[in-house]
Order: sequence, then structure tokens, then C-alpha cells
Amino acid sequence: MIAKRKTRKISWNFKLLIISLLFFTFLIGKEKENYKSPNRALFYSLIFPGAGQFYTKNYLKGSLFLLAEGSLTYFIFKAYKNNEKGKFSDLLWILAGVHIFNMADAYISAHFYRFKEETRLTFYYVY
Amino acid sequence: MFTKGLILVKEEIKEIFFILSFAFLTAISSKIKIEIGVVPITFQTFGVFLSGIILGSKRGALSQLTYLIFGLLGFPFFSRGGGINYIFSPTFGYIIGFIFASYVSGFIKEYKLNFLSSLFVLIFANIIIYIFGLLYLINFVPKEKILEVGLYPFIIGDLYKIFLVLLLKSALPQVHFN
Repeated sequence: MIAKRKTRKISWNFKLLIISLLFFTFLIGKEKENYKSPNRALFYSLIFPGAGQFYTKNYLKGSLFLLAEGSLTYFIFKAYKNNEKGKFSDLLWILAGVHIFNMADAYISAHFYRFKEETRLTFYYVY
Repeated sequence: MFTKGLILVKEEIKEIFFILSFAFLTAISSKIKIEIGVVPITFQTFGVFLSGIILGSKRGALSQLTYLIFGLLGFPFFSRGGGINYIFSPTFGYIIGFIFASYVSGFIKEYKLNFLSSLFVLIFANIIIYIFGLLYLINFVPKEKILEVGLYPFIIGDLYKIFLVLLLKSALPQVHFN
């Protein structure tokens, strides 16, 4: 009789470790001066609202997006708890739309980052 | 949909919001791409079909037109950047085809088609994109190679996207316009 082979399941901790390693290799990387990768900004904003804007140093815009999406999520939960179906689906659609705006804005602001930084440096050296 | 939930949001603002968000969705999905040569494989048709299915034919086509205008104005919305000089890019024909494809895929919402007929409608919409794209591409690529460059690499991916859209169609809540 063939002995039953012991199958070892990969634990969740190990999986999480691999995922986080992959994620951090994406984060760490040499960057040129006065340059922010638009694809990276898009990816950050996909994962967390406003993160792409923070990456491109648009702090006000990023925090506004974070505030907007956070408050929308709160109202969605509230509508779900109170069993208001119409309001729930309305707010869900709005959240999806705002998130798409957030991603597109991160991409565009990463494109414009160079101009913004150059302007800032020029003013810094002149005055 | 919005009448009971939010009093502040008027119908027009709601329409503009939806049209803009689907234009932006197509812009974002154009960044998911595989460069294979003259024409890249992108995720754009997903946004195109979804705009037609959720907004209906007229508003879907308007969203794609908005996408086209935004891209031509200089926003980096197309797969290889943007700007008015994109008119001379070999892939511009596909983008023109998106407007008509979105209009055609909007029939699914308007006539409330079932799964099989909506599959045929989406395949027909995809063929429209191919026709516009190939008619434009013929100015840049020799005639013998046009199908190799502009049609064969996309068929499998487009079928996958069509099935993805059809699965999402049943899962997503409906949007009602006046």
C-alpha cells in the first residue's frame, strides 16, 4: 500500500508575505529627478483614494479625494443599515464615479508633475 | 434612481457625471495594454461596451465622444498619450469606431435583450470597431499585412472582454434616466 502523502497547505501568512514583497518591490525603485511615473500614480490611486495625488505632491487634492470617498463610504454603510435601497445604489454609483475621477486625476497630475516642479525650482533659485 | 435618494442632484448633473465617468473609465482602461507592434492590445473596449450597456446608446456614444475630444485636447487619455497630432496615428480609426460601437451596444439596454442576443450585438459592435480601425490603418500598413497587424491579434482578447462585460451586466444595478 502506498502511504498517504502528507500535503502541506501553504499558510496564509506565507501568501501574505509574498504579496507584500511583490507590492514593495513595486514601491521601491530608482526614480529620476523631477519625474513621477503616471502608471505608478494610477496604481496607487486604484488601491487607496488620494494616494496617487500624495505621490505627486498634490496634498490638498489628495486629502479632498480621501475625504470625499471616506464620507461617501460612511453614508453607504448608513444607507445599508437603514435598508434604503435606492439611496444605497445611488451612492455606490457615485463612489465608483469619484474613484474613477480620482484615478484619472492622479495619472494626469503625474504627467504634469515635471512642469510644476520646474516652476517651483525656478522661483526658488530666482527669488 | 436619483429622485428618492438625493434631492440635490438634478437629472442633468447626473447625466453629465455618468458620461464623464465612463469617458474617464475608457481612458484608464487604455493604460492596461500590451505593446505588440503598430496597434497595441488594450482593455479599452471593456469601457466602450460597458458605457453602452449602462448608459444606453445615445449617452454611451456621447461618453465616447467626450473621451475622443478630451484626448485630442491634450489629456493623455489614449494608449500612447494624446494631443491633436494623434489624428495622424495609425490607431485613430479604432477610437472613432468606439463611438459607433458604444451606440450599438446601447441597444442591449434599450430593448432589454437576453444573454444570447446581447452577445451577438456586442460581437457586431466589435466588428464595427474593426472596420473603422482597418479602414484607417490601410493608409499606414501594406494591404497584404493589414489583417495580421490590425485584426488577428485582438480576437481572443475581445471575446474575453465581451464575456466579462456580459457577466458584469447581470451583476451591476440598473441606472434609470428620464
